[in-house]
Amino acid sequence: MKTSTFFLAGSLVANAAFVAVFLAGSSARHASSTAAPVIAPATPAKPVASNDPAAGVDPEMWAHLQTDELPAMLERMRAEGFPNSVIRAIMAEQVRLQFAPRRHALTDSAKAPPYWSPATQDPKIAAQLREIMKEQDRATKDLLGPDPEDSFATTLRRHFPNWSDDKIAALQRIQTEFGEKRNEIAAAARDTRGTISPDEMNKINALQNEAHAAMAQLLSPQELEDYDLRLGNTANNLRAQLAGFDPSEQEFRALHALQQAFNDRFGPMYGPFSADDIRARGEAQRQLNDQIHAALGDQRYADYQRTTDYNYQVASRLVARLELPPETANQLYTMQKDFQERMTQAMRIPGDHQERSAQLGTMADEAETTLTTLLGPRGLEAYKQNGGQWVQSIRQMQASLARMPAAPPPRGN
Amino acid sequence: MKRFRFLLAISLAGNLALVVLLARRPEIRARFFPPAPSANAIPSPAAPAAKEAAADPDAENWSALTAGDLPDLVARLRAGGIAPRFLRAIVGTLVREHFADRHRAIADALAAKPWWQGPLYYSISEDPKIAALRRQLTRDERTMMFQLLGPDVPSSTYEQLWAQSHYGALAPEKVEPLRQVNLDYDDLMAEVRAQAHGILLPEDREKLAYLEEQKRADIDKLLTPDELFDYNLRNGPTARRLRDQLAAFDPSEDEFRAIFKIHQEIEAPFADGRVQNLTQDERRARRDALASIGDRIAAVLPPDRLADYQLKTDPAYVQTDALVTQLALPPTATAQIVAVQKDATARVAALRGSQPLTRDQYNAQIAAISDEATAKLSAVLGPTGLAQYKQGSGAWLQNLRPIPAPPVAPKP
Repeated sequence: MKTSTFFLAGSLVANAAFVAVFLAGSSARHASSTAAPVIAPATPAKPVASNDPAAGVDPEMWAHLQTDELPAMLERMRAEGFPNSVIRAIMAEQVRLQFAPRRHALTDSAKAPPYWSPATQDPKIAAQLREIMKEQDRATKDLLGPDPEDSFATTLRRHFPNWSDDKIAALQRIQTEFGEKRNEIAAAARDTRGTISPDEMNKINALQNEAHAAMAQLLSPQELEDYDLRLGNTANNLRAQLAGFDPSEQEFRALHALQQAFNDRFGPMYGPFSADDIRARGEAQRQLNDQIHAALGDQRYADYQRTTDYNYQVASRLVARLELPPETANQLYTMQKDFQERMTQAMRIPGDHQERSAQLGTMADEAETTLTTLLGPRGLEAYKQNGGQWVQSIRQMQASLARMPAAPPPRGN
Repeated sequence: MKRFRFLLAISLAGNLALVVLLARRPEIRARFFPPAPSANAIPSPAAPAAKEAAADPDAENWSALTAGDLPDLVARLRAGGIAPRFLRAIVGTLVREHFADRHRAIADALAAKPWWQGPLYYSISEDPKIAALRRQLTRDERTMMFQLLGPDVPSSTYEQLWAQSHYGALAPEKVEPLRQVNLDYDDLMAEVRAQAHGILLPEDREKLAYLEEQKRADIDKLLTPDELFDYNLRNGPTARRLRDQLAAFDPSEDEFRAIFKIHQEIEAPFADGRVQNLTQDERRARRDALASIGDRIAAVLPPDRLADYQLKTDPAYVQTDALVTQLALPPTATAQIVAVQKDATARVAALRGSQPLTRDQYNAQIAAISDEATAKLSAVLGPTGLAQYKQGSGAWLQNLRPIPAPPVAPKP
């Protein structure tokens, strides 16, 4: 009796457990969206201990899920519990697949470029393919909405955590619209001629200004300034340029304001330049340098000049790689300035081209001797290719003068 | 007693029915009886999906698909008839999510710099430690994708055309190992270059040369000599350079093969033409060796094609041709412009080599050459074109400037 009771009790508990499990599954199933799951049974009756994870999978599973009706396919995947990131990847691929016949119609007739010719594409076909790509991107966006992982949106959220989603979405739209126009100009130019003409570069520049004006409509003046400082073109270029200068926030803001004013007036400019253009720009650049000097003070301006000098930047990296003390880069920089000044002086001193050539030869010998002491022979060879091109310049000037016709006789002509 | 037995029998029968029912509900089974983790080295990447599944009570079938490790998911999706492109899209997403923490760590490290100093992505100024983390992450993701899915088979027309132009008639079973060898060594060489931080020291060149040598040895093992020649003809650095150099010359296949063979023989001692791996001295030696190539090419081209080759491979012609195309001028304009350049340059050289002249005599003759050349160029290019030409391939016009008077010493 006791044994029977024990078995009955155990069995009833098991009944209850199995019913609970079954009901839990059923209620979850019935509480799901109106779209009926189509994948089931994904792994029917698979023994728990089976070594084959695919045992019993319905071979038509994917066929049940996939359809040309994009919203229906999207709904099915949601009903099956696919995570959003996976749905986005699948639907993007499905949209691409739907545009594939149009792409193939253009490219099927194309032959593989012969291996002995540079790979080029018919500009007309390239333009049509770009148009298809744009439509495809729009279709994906219409279906799935803006990508939350879009890098521009992520960057905006990181820099401006208090900006609303609407504001970020509007900025994304501006970015997309102007980005498409800009890419169209650049791609068409590349496909037809391989290069972008100055005129097209000016058009791209004008588009960027338009995009900025559109952003000014959307953001308050303070927000726009914050955006420009963090993500604007001038700020991005400045950050790269000032990498070795290690500016404070205040210095960066001051330099940005000066550089932005210069860019608004002059740059970027694309040739052909008239002599007047070049003169005006050169004069403005000198004024900009004076303003930077005034803003930074003598010591920091000297640091600024040194650290933004391309040769210094390369020499610093070389010094680091040679594991020499960091101040060696400063010594190289000072030496470069000194020798370049001496070269300029030598060119001003009256004398025959041949005499000056010999003078420059002596100067180059002296530079190489000093550099060998500073860097060692291995370092000197590396320096000549990395930041020390000025040594070669002295040698080239020396050779060039040696080839020049003799100076006129002192009596003049 | 009978009642007891009856109840027990009913209960046991009910249990049996429920077990059968549950067994036919794989999604529930998967939820309550997940299979044991696979012994595969690839860890379970389903964590993000599992999190969503836990939050979403409808996540039955996705849960069933993702139970276990990624290889299990791949096996199930393949068994379910998924097309390779969708499989790759799904697995690509899950692999990225698997490495989400590392992506986040890199993003955090980049964002750690104050906004006025960084971040500086993908530039020489980027923090080398972050750059190394980024490269390692890319490699790990690629390796996992390969372990899971194998090679990516070209599916679009363009991918197929690309493969055809790079591998020609090479047997498909050789293509993948070859691609893998290239990928592995290119990766190692990229690492050497990245660590050099833009400064190649002799020891870096040695490492690169060693890796090139090993790569060549591995490729030699894979391909027959004929296949190797054909592969280099399509993919080697010499072939790549020649394709651009000979574009205006528009060679036939036979002409290209003949010219390539000559170049390849000369460039073999110079890292097979990988100029970036050479020292300055080696580059000079290569230039000297290539200087005599004209005679050998003259031996393989008929006179009319040789003349065409000489004209259209001249760097001045190639550079000018780009401007002529950009300005939409007739193609014949290139040869006209280059003829003006050659004529003026030869006359200046003759002038410099002639009897010593006074500065005024020299300047007068230079001015005459300059005026004549400018007038001819302007007729072909127009004023705007001429202005653009002067800033690019027409830089040689600078050589037509008069010699300035030397500085005069101030009177004491």
